[in-house]
Parts: sequence; structure tokens; C-alpha cells
Amino acid sequence: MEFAKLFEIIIASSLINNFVFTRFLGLCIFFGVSRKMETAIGMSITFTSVMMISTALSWIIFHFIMVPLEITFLKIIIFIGIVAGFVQASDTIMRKISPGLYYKLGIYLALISTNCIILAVPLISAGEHYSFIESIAFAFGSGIGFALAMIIMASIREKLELANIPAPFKGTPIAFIVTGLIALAFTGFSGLIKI
Amino acid sequence: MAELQRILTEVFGLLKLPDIFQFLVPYVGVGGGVDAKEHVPLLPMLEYTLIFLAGIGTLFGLGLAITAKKFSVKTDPKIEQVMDVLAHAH
Repeated sequence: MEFAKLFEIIIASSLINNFVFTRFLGLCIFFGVSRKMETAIGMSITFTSVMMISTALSWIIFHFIMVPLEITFLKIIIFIGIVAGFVQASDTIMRKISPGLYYKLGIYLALISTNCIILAVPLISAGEHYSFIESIAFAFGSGIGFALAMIIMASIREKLELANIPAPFKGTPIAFIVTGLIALAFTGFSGLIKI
Repeated sequence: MAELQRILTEVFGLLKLPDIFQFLVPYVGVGGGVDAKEHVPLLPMLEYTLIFLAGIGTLFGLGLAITAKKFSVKTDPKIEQVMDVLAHAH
């Protein structure tokens, strides 16, 4: 029963309510980094891990401090602070401990701290009354959904580099059009789970 | 009108601090995450807010400062000096 619920959350957040193609959040990073497959994969890995850890931290602070004190209206500010602080700390630690990983993924960390999806995941899981495991599953599913979107988009854009596109549509405009088409395709997932 | 008179006499007659606050902001809703209440005591909420924000700010500040100190990476100042002299052609 419990696993069925977790599986539902992961499927729902990665496919049905995919953050990029259904809710249209986090588009700045999506368009900025999806030009090459290598950066897209690096970004997806960093993004998913940061999102899971920051959602866990936010859940702990929200449920053990903010709910008992009845100051839940502060959640936006506090979640932004948690994400920014965690990202900054991991940036510093990663630079010292594994410089190789830092030079591969460090540039994405600065971008992540101001991303909409990273903030939306703790906010939604607070609003939906998810438990700790459920909110981590939600973060994992959202990360998988984002990775899926990035990989689909990067593979299409690498092919688009060689395609014969009219001059006004070269670069970002054709990427927007392609995103709209994929978003249309993603509406096909909407009947996957009956609620 | 009688209600307003009662409030005015209450405010100007007694001049208790909490009463004034209640008159100015009678209801404060708490949205999202927990169920909304009809009435929330304002002063404790303000206190908790300030204490919580100051506490978490101090905690994060100290944590980041300690992390930055402990995991600091030494960079050669010559690199920056050379970069300054070079043309910034990106």
C-alpha cells in the first residue's frame, strides 16, 4: 500500500505533472543548459541530488519548527534560504574535497540556487501534507522528470544544429516550438493514473 | 455605530497595548500547510517569527562561515595578477 503510493507519486511527478512540460517551471535552466547532451546530463544529476537533500531539510524544518510555532506563512522565505545555504555549503565543500567534480558540476550549482523547481518541490510537498518519505519520493520523481526533459531536449537540439532551419527560428525560438510540441505529447500521460 | 463607539472607548479609555493591536489587525490568517484559524494571537506570532528568523539566520551564517574556513582552497595570487594583465577576450 505504502509502496503503491510512493510509486504513484514518482510517476505522477515525473510524467503526468512533469515540471517542465506540464507546469512550465524552471525554463531558464532548461533552455540554457540543454544545448549539449553532456551538460544536460551533468545538470540533471546535480539537480536531482540537490533537490532531494534540500527537500528533506525543508521538510524537517517545516514540520518540527514552523508548524508547532504556527509560522507557516514564512515558508517561501525559509525554503529559499535553506536551498541557497545548502547549495553554497555544498559548493564550498565540493571545491575542496573533489575538484574534478567541482569543475564538472560546479557551474550548475550557482544556477540551481535560484531555480523555480527547487523551490516549488518543498512548497508543494508542504501544501499537500506529504510525509517525509513521500516528499523525498516527490523530489526524486521531479528530478527524474526534469532529467527526462533535459535529455529529450538535448538530443533534439543536437540534431537541430544540423537541420535546415529558417534564419529567424535558429537557436532559442525553435527550441521553444519544440518544447511546446513535446508538452502536447506529454498531455498523453494525463490518464495514466486514476485518482 | 454602537460597536464603533465601544471600540473607541475601549481603545482610548483603557489604552492597553494588546487591545490596540487587536483593533488594528483583528484577524490574521495562517495560510497553507496548516488549517486556517479564525483568530491568531498576533504578538506571540511576531515574537516567534523574529526569534526563528534570527536563529536560522545565525545558524546558517555560522555554518557557512565555518564551512568556508574549514574547506578553504588556497589560490595563487599570481594567477589573478596575470589574468588582470591579460586582455579579457572571452
